[in-house]
Amino acid sequence: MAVFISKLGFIIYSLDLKEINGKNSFMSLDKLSRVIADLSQDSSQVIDSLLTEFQRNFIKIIFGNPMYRPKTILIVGEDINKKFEDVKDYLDGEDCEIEISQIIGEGFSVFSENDSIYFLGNRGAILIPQEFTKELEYYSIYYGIKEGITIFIDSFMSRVWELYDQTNEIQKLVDMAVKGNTDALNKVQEEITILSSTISVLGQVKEFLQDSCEQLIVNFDRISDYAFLEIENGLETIKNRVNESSKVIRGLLTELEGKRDHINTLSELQMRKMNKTMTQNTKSMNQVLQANTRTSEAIDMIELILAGSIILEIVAFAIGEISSDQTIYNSIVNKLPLDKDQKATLILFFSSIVAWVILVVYLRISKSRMEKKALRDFIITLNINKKINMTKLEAFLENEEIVMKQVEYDSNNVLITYVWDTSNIKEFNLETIRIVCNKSTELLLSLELETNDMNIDQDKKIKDVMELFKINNILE
Amino acid sequence: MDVEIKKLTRDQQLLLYTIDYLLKWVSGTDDDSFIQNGKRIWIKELPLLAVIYYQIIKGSYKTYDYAPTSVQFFGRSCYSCNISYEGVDDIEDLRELDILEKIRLSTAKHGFVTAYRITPQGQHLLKQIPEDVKEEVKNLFYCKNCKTHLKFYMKLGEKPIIKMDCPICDESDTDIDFLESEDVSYVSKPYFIRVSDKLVR
Repeated sequence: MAVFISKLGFIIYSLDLKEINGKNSFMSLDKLSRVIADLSQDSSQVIDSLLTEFQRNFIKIIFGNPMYRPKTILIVGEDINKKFEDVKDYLDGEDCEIEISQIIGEGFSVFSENDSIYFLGNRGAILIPQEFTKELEYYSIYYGIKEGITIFIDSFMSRVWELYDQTNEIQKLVDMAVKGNTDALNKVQEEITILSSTISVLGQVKEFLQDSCEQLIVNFDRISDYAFLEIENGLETIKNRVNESSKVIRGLLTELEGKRDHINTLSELQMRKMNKTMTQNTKSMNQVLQANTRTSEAIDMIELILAGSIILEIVAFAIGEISSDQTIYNSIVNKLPLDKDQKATLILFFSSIVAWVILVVYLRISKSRMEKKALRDFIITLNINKKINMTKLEAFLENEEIVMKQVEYDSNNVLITYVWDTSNIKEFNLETIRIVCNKSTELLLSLELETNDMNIDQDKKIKDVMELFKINNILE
Repeated sequence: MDVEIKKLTRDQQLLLYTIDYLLKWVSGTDDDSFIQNGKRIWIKELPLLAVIYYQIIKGSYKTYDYAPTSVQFFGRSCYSCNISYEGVDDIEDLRELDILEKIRLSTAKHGFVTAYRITPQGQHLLKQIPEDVKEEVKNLFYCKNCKTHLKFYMKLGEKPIIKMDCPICDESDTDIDFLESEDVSYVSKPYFIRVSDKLVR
């Protein structure tokens, strides 16, 4: 099989059929159709590896499976078993017409000129010329191109109208989104993106088709009068159909643009609603926080009073009640000397006060520590992108307290994240160090230092860690 | 137009009874109205042609042959289907005799679908179809092992599937190679077009 690939977008597969099933003359159309079925598939396979991704993509959009794209068939025979003198009799609606239809499509037309017979259908042609001249070859190829583009543009337009139908489906989703269905909003955005991408491919195909049509018309050599092939008219019609499709595609894009704007507005509205709700939530959270603070302060007060009472209770429980005839107040007012019991009571009273104060101070410190712990840690992040020795880093970290190791694989890279617990290393004053590195490229990508000391000297801390890496020969 | 059953060939009778059988099977009724869920049932052309092909390879039709013909599915991929043009011709003949009705509709995919159903005159003729013809059709659609009605399944798409399945046992499960053309041996040599210089301008 010979293959001719034109820059105008058509491909001609051609062969000289010498014999079928050992017979080299008067091949039956039934046998011929089996050979054509075989060749149709073989020709797709022959060219498959030469197709670019763009070509494969648009063939898929227009014809589905690229292996089963339709083709135009031209059969040139040297002779025919003439069944009828008048060629119109081949259109008998019976066996003859049906046999020919199965190769070149239903509703074919038949022409004769001198002793030549031409059957012209929408899927191809069967030519039995007196002489297969170069001129006839040229015209028959042009006829094939014309029918081929017609099949292509039929399917192309079907896809365009199908896309138009899909915009109706999108409108339904838009309506649902307007009613507040957020799932529909997400889906419609996705659908619009897919549809836009398909239209964009069809738009590009249309441009190529337009160029090819114009070029074919310009190139067409009008040297003979095979008028019945209707090549010029056919090409003009195709050109007009392609031009018509421009309008449809433009209309489709405008409609889609409108729907996209509508959806964007809806998304913005939803965002605004969400912002409003978030603001309200923040406000009520602040109010709750303030109420909590007030409650906490009240609890603090109660806690202090309770602490005092408990101390007094403990002292009273340990020592018991000390009674005296005179109250301390009376003794002071009447300037009487304090007796032994009164002195003991005073000592116990002051001791209780001191114990209370100590307890209060202790509680305050504990509370402050707890609050400090509860505060969000301060995180220092630095993107580094420096070459490291992965083996040395792994060896170094083996002896450290690693609380998390995460490995991510993608097509070319192995990203490793270590979280190193440094809370026990006092000189660092850091809670954790997060190290992100690329094992494939041996790059240290970033460092993340976590501390609860808000007054930490960030630069110094980073310098310290980097210094540590240098000392251990991790940094190259 | 009044037609007598004797005017139809045996293959035409078989074809008519097959269409009737499939319609009753699809509509799930023995009623001649072929109504399912309030809608009248039609049989699509392509599944009918696949069934005719299945009957040909099983030897039911005496005068039918088949040949691969390029058919575009849903206006997209083009498959070579083993179509019997004698069968197609007989369908047209039955239509001309007012025994079958034909409908052609555009599809959601902007392609066309053709379908058939039997006219009242066809219904009248069905009553006169000989028993041996009826048996010929029925035998083909029943599992030889468990005598269950076989299920004809046709799914067209990226990977078309056409098969006959027994819902009870797998004894009669058959893949119908409607889309596979028979191999023929041929000898060819590349033909280099002579006008390539004119085409590359």
